[in-house]
Amino acid sequence: MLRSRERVENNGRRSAGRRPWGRAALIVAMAAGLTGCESLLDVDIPSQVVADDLNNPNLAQLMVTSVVTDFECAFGRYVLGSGIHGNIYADAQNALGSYWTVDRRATTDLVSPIHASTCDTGGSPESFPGIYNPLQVARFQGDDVANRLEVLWADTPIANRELLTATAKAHSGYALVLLAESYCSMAIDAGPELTRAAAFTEAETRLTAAIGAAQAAGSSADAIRHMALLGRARARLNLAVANGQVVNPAKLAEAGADAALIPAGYVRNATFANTVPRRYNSIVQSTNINSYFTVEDGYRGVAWAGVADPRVPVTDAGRNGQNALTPLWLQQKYQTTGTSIPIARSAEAQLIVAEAQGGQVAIDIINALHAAAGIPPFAGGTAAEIRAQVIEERRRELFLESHHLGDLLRYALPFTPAAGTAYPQSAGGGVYGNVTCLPLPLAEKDANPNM
Amino acid sequence: MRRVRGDEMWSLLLCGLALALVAAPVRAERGGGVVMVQAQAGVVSGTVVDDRSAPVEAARVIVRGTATEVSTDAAGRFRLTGLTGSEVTLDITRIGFRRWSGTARVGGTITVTMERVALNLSEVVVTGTAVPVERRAVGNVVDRIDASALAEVAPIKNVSDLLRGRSSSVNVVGVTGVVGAGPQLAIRGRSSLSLTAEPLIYIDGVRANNAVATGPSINSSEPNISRLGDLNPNEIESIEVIKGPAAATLYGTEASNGVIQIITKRGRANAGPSVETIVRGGANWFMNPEGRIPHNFLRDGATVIEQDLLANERAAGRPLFRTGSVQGYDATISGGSGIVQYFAAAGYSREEGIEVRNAFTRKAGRANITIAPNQKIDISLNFGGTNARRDMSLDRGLSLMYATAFGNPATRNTPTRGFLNGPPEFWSSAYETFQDVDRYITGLTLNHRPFSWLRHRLVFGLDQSAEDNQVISELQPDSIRQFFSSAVDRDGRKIVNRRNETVNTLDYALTASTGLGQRITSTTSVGAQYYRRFTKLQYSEGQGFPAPGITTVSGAARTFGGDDYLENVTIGTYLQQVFALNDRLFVTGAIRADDNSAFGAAFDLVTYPKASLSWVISDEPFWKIGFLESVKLRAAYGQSGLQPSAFAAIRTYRPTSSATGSAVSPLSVGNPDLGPERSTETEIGFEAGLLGGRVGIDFNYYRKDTRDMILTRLPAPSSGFFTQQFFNAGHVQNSGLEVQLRLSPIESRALKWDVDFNYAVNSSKVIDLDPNNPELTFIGAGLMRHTEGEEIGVAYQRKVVSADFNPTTGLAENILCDPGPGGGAPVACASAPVVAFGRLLPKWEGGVSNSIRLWDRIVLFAHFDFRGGHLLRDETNWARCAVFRLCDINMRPEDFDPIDIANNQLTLHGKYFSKADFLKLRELSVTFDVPDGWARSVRANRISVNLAGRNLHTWTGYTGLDPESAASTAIQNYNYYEQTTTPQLASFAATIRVNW
Repeated sequence: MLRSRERVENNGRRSAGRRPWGRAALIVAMAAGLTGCESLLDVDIPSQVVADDLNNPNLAQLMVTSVVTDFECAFGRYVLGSGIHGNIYADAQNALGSYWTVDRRATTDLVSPIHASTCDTGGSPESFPGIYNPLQVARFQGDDVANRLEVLWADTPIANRELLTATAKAHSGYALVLLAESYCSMAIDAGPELTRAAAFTEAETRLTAAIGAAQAAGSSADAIRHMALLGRARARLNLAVANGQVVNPAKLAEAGADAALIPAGYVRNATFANTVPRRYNSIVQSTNINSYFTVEDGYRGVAWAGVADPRVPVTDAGRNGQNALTPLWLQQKYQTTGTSIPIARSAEAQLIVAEAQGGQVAIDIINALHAAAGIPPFAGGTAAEIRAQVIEERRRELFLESHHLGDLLRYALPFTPAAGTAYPQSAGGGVYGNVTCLPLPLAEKDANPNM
Repeated sequence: MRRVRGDEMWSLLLCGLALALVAAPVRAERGGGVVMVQAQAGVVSGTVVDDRSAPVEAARVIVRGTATEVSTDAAGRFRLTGLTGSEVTLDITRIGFRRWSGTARVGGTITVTMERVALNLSEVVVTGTAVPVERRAVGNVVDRIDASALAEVAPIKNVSDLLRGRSSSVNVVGVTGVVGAGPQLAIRGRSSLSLTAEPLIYIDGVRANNAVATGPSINSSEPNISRLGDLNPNEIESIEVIKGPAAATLYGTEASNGVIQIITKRGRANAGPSVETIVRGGANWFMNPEGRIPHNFLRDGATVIEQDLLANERAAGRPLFRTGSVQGYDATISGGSGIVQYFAAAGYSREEGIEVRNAFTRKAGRANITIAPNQKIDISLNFGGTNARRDMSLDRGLSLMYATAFGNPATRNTPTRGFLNGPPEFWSSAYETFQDVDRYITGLTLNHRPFSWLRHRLVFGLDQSAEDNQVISELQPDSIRQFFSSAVDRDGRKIVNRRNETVNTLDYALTASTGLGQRITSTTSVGAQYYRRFTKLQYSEGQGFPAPGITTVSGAARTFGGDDYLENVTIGTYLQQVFALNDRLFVTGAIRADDNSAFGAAFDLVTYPKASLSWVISDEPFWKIGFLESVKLRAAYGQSGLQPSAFAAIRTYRPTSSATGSAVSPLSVGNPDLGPERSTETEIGFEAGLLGGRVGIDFNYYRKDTRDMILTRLPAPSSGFFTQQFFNAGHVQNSGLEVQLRLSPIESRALKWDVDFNYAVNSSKVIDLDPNNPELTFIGAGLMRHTEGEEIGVAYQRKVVSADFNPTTGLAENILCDPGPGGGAPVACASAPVVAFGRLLPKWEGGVSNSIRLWDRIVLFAHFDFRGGHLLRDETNWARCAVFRLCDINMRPEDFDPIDIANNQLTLHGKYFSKADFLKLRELSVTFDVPDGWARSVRANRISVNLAGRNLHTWTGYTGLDPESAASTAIQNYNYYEQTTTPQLASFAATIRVNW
C-alpha cells in the first residue's frame, strides 16, 4: 500500500505543471542520444585497407605498384631460399631455426618456413626466406590487378592502361616461372594441381600477353617488354630442357629467339631499401648481418684458370655463424640491405642464346662474359663441353640471381653433398635427403577444394 | 580513417533502451525525496559479536523492507537512524557467519551474537545485476576468495598468488619464475580452439585489461607479463570466481571463459580512522639448482667430458644465480562516518629474480571513497594507480638459463667458458629488457535506492594502461661484443614497443522487487552495457649506434617505426526475473542480447538465455536431518559467448611500401558470416553445512557445450591470402566435477584447526570440428592436435616402439614405430602415422590449506596445490639431446635404451612428452600476534609478525625444469612446452603488520 501511495504522489507532482517541460527535455535528450548512438558499433581500422575500397579505378597505379613490390619481396626471398635448398647456402643458425631441414634437403609437404614464411609474417620475415607463399601472393596480385584492368575497370578510362597491364602480367608470369623452377607442382587460385610444365606454360601465356600489352603501349613500355621477353625465354627454356635433355627443340629455339631481342646492357632489378625491413635485401640481412647462413664449399674460392672469378665474390668471414659452430663464408656481391638484385639482364639473355645455338656463338658469348670479368677465355671444345660450360657460366655469372635451383633441376645436376651423407652434428645432425624439386605444401592440398 | 561495422537498427534499439532506463532515476529520485522527508525519526544501535564475544567487523545490518543499511565498525558497533515505527526487523550478514534475523525496538540498543559456519548461504556475491545477491538465491557456483584474510597469513605478493590452488577448476599456468612475469588462466579447461582462454576481469565492477604475454621480446624469447600483476594484493578485499556461462550469462559475449571479480577494500561507516602498515623483507632463490640444471657432455676421443657449469662458476667465485631480495612497504587508512567512507592505500614493492637483470618494482596506490548523502543514494569513486618497472630476463633465447642449459663443452676453454654464445657476464650486460607500465583504473558507481523495492546502479569505468616495452643492446666494449651472434645486436640496437590499452565500461542495471502475496517475492532486473577496448600500438627501432652510451632510436644509423590501432566494441542488454518462494526456493530466468563490432556484417545480434534454480531445502519444514543443518540444491543453465578478434570478419589488405611510394598487399581473407562462439552450460550441485557448522561441502557437476567455435583455416596459399581465416563450426564439450570442502575439525579457544580443500576433474572433448567438412577430423599445430572424439589439445608425434643398438656405429637400427590406432605390427618410422601421446591440459587439479590457530595468537598455515593427468613437452632436454646433441646419451649411447637413441636420431620427443603431475608445498607460514600490551606500548591495536615461505618443495616426475611452466606465447595454440624456463622461485619473507 505504501508503494501505491508513493506512485500516486509522484504522479501528482509530475502533473503539477512540470510535465510539458519534462517531456520536452526527455524527447530532446533521446533525440540527442540516438544521434550519438547510431554508430556505436563502428570501429576504426586505420592500419588495414578494406578490400572494397580497392575497387576504385583511380587506384590502378597503386595496385600495379603493389604487384611490383610484392614480387620484388618474393624474389629476394626466393634467391636466398632456393639457395639454401640448392647448393649455395648452408644453415648456420641455432638449429632451432628450422632451416636445417631445408638445407639438408629433407623438406616435406608439412609446415616448413620454405613454404610458409612470407614477406610479412613471422618474427623476422626479412631474415627467414620462404618461397611458395610469397610467390603465390605476387602471382595472385599480378593476375588480380590484370583482371581489374581488363574486366572490372574495362569501361573506365585509365591512364597507361596497357603499360599497367603489361607490368602486372609480366610479374605474375615471372612469379609462376620461379614457382615452377622450384616446386614439383603447384596451383593457381585454388585450382587443380599443375605440373611444372603446365605452370611454365601458364607463365608463357601471361608473359606473351605482357609482351603484347607492352607493344601496344609503345616505347615507354620497352623495359617491361624486355623483362617479359626474357621471362618468356626462361619459361621456354624450361619447357625445352628437362632432366638434362632437350625435350623440345622448337621451344629451345623460341627461347633463343626471345633472348636475342634483349639489348646489351639491359637489366631489370628487384629494388630493395635499407630503411624498410620488408624491403631488405634478405641475402645481406640473413647472411652478412645475421650470420644465419654460410656460403657452401662449391662457391668458395671460385676461379678460372687460376684466376679468381670476380663474379662469385665470396670471403671467409673469419668467424662462426649464429650457431657459434659453423664457419661463416659471406657473399660480397650485394653490399647493403638496399642493394638491388637483377631479375633479368642481358648476360642471362646471352647465355640462353648460347645454350640455344651452341658452337662458336656460345664460345663467343662465354668469352665476352669472361673478358668483362677479367678472367682468361674459354678455349671451346665438343658440343657437350660447350654446353657444360654454358651451364657453368650460368652458375657463376648468375650467382645469387635466382637461377641455380632451376638449373639443378633442368640439367639434372647433382645436389651436394650427396643424399645419405651425414649432416653436421653441430647444425642438427641426421643425413642429407633426396628432395630435389620441393613438394607441394600440405597447406595447399588441405585447403584447396580442387585437390 | 575507415570505419566499419555500424549497425544502425541495433544501435537505435540499445540506445533507446539505455536512455529509457536512464530516465528511470529521474522518477526514482522524486520518489526518494518524498521518503526523505519522512526520515530522521528513530534510532537503533547495537553491537555484533561472534560466539567467542569478539566483535564482528564489517557485518551488514539491513532494515528489512527498507533501503536502510549500515556496516559494523571495528568494535562491531552499528547505529541505524531515520527509522519509523516502534520496531524494525533486522537482517545481519557477514562472510563466514550464519545470517542473523530478528527484531529490534526503535530507540533501543541490542547485542547480536553471530554463529560461525563453514557453509554460509547468507554470504553476498556479485552476479551482474544492480544488487549483490545472497548465495542462497544463486543457482550456480560462485567461489569467493577472502583475499584480505589470506594476505594476513600467506606470503601473497601478487594476485596470482591468491588464485593458485584456491578455487576448483581455476588453472593457473605459472609460465615462468622470472619475477614480474604473470601466469595465464583457464577456468574449467579450455573450449575455444583459437581464442584466448583468459577470463574476463572486473575490478569493482569495471571491466579491466586482462592481457597476458605482454612485455619485451627479441630473438624468439618469450614475453610473459600479465596485467593482473599490476595490482597490489594488499588493496583487495575479496575475489569472486564465476566459472562459466551458466553463471556468466549476464556478462554476455566475451564471458564464456568465466569472470573474475576483484573487490577492493573500502572504509566502514561510523568507524574511526584505522591505519595499517605492512613491512615485508625476504629473499627469492633457485631451489635445488644442482638437481635441475642439466650437465652437458662432449666426447673428446675416448674421453667423455661432463660439464657442470653451475659448479664450475661457483668454484671460480662467480655463482651463476643470485639470491634476490624481496621487500615491500604498504600503508592503508580506512574509516568513515555515516555519510563518507574512505579507504586509501599506498604500496611499494620490489623483488629481484635469480638472474642479475631480473627485478620487479611496483608502486601502487588506491583511493576508494563512498559518499552516502542519504540512505537512498551512494556514490563510490574507486581509483587505483600503478607504476611498475619490470626488468626481465627473457626465457628461451635471452637468459642465462638458456645459455647454461644449451652450453657446449666444446667451447669450455674459449671466452664463452662453455655457455651458449657467451659467458654469464655477457648475458647480464649485453641486453637491457624491460617493461614500464603506468596504469590507472577508475570507477564511478552510483547506487540509487529510491524505494525499498527498487534499486539501480550506473557504473562508469576506465582502465588505462600504458606499456613501454624496450630491448636495448648498447654498443658494448669488445670484451662483450665478441659474443653477439647477431651483427645487428652487436652494433647496437633498440626496440621500443609501446602499447596503450583503454577499456571503457558503461553499465546500467536496475532491480525491482515486489511481493506477490505472502510467500512469493518477485525480483526483476534489467541492464544495458557498453564496453570498448581500444589498443594503440607504436613500434620504433634503431640499429647501429655510433658510440657507447647512445641508446635512443634517433641516435641510431637506421631507424624504423610503425603503429597500429585495434578497437572492439560490445553493446548488450539483459532482462532477468527471479521468483523467490518463502525465501528458500529461487527460480531465475534471464535473457541477454549482444552485438559486437567484430561480428561479420551478415551476422546479427546474438541472444543468450539463462535459467537457474536454488532450493534451500534445509529451511523447509519437512527437513528433519539433524546433522545436516543447511543444504542448498542448485541447478543452472546458461549461455555465453566469445567474440572473434577485432577485424577477423573483414577482408583487408596491408599497407606497405614500394620503391615509388605506397602499396598494398593481401592480408586477411575475412568472413562476413563470422559470429561469436556460443557456449551452453549446465551445472548441478549442492552446498551443505553439517556437524554444527564444522563441515561445509560444495559439490558441482558441470557440462559446457561450445558450438559455432571460431576455428581457423588457412586459405589455399594459391588464393593469394595466407593468414588464417576465421569461421564458425564445430563443437567442444567440457565437463567435470568440482568439490570444495571446508572443515573445522577442532574449534576451541586454545586451538582452532581449519582445512580448506578443493578438487576438480575436468575433461574438454572435441565432439565435432566442421560438420560441413567430414574430412576434417583434426586440427593440428606443431606437435598438438584437436581430434574429434578426443580430448582437446593432445600431443601427437610418431612413436618409436622398438629399436636395436649397433655398437659399431653407435646408432639405433631397425627402428620401428607405432602403427597407429588401426593396430597391427610396428612399421618403419618413415611411413608411420603420428599417434597420440596424451592430453596437455590437466585432468585433475586442486589445493588444500591447513590453518591452525593457537590461543588466538599464533596461526600456522600450509597450502599445497596439485595438478596432473597431463603432459608437458620438455623442450629443454629434447633440444639438448636431439638437436644440440649435448647429452650423455649422445656420447655413451651404449648405456642407454635404444628407443631413446632412436628418438634422438629422428628428433622425436619420446619420453620428453613428460608427465607433468606435481604436488607443491606452495605456502608455509607462521603468524604471531604480539601480546596486546606490547602493541599498546606503541599505541597500536594489533601487531602481527608473519614468517612465510613460498614454493618450498615440488614432488614431480617431470623431466624438465618445472612442471608448472610453459612458453607463454605457445599456450594460446595449446602448444604447452617448457624450454629453459626459469622455475617458480622459492622465496621467504618476514612481514610485520601494525594496526592503529
